[in-house]
Amino acid sequence: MLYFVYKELALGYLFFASLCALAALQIASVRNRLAGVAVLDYSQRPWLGYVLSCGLIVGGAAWFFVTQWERIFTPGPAGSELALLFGAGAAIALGISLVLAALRLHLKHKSGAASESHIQGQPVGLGRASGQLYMPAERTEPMAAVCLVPGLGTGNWGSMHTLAHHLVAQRMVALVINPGAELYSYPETLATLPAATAYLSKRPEVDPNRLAAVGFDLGGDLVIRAASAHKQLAAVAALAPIVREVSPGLGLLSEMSYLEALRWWRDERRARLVAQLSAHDYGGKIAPRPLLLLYGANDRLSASMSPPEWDDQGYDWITHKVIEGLGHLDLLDHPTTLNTIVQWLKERL
Amino acid sequence: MTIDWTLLSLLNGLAGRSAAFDLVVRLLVNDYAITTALVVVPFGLWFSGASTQQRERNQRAVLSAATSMFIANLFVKALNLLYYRPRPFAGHDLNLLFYHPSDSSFPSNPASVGFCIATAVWFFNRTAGWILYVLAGLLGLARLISGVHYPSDVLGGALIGMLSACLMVKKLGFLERLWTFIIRRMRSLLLA
Repeated sequence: MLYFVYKELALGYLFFASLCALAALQIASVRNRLAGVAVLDYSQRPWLGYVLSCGLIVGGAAWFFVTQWERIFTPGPAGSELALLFGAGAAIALGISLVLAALRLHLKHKSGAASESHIQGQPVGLGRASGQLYMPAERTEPMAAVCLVPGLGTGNWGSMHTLAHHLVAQRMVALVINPGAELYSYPETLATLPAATAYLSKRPEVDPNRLAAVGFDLGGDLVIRAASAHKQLAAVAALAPIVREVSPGLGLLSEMSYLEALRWWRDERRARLVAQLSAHDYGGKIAPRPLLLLYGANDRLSASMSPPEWDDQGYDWITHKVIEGLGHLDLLDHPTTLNTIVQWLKERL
Repeated sequence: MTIDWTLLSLLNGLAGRSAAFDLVVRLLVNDYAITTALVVVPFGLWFSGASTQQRERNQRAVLSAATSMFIANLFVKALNLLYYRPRPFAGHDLNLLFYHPSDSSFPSNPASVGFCIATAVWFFNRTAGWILYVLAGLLGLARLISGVHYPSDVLGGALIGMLSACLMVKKLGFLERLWTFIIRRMRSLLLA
């Protein structure tokens, strides 16, 4: 039978333990980049996490010892009761961290979604799929063209359009595939890229020998798989392709809230599509055409490496780049990423 | 016994001289300050690790520490049934900075808990282990200055704690499977 001796002391300790556990979680989130448990954004200001944690511990301890000083020095709850109170405090702290982090990330995503307002392409139909076409204003001679495949249910779709604007500025035609249910259906999804390249090849403004594909997340897996069979693509860029399913766990909280991560991991369609596209087995067939693999250094949602079998082709066809300070979801939003892709495509088309 | 008493009187002699020093010792000796730190560090450790492998190692440290604590408590309870040693303040005039505990003085339960957590964690994560050793050492020292334990009580408690952790980590290898199962389950909930 549990006996807490003083109700006030037990409740006070529960509150104190919650604050200490919350502080420990914030330190862990700063040190291990766990955005899903970070109550504030520490990515640019890690010191803020340490200051908050110290404040929680010092403030909590001061409050507890001042209010409970007399009771602390009389026989109180035994070890088992204290362990139970700490366990409850830790659970409360974890709950608070997950909820506050989810709210913070939701607001952050909401402000990011506003950038989709600059989607101004010309709508085109591609069989079951559809897309948005971006053309440079000056059209003197046939130009290189790039198909852009977004992440399937992941990332900011608006970023693909920002990339399209960058490509157009470099006198390239860009076709952004709209994210729709057909992109999730296998094998129908395999027809998307051939349909897009066929459409582009027929346009007089496009040089059919200078076609490339860029895919993000599972879109990266799709372009790798499609390019392995579709030899018309002269260059392929895969941004944070999944290639191999990563093991679930806390790593998923590095960029997502708890619920988002749970939904992401339990998305059976996505997991099935990773296996069906099997980019891992098909990537090697792109050689000798150039392949750009681009990852964020803090990416915990993808394998973040090219399988060693791909490198056994005897020549240097893969460009593997890692961008410091970026994760999986924010990779496409960063100017460094956009400049890297545009520069790489410009040199190869 | 003479060395025990000499050391205790030397350390307890530090109490009652300065109000500030007594306050610090009372903050360290109670059941809520260092004991909370001794569990907060492993709690934070559960969520720490640069890679999945490192994090799993830390999580095994936490599970080992919790089991070691259980084993150490069993040892302490068994010893308490076999042997009762009165608290030092019962037979000597001391500067007592704590309340009068009524259970056996030997072995020191807080020392056994502190050192078993520190040792179990130390096997997996040296830095966190050393931090916990410092905390456990401070708790043991504060118990001596406060006059609630003999040095041999704290030493005995520390040895029981360390032996329990060694037993857990080195001899109870079959629990590894249980740790793997727990970590996998927690991982599927995205909490490990």
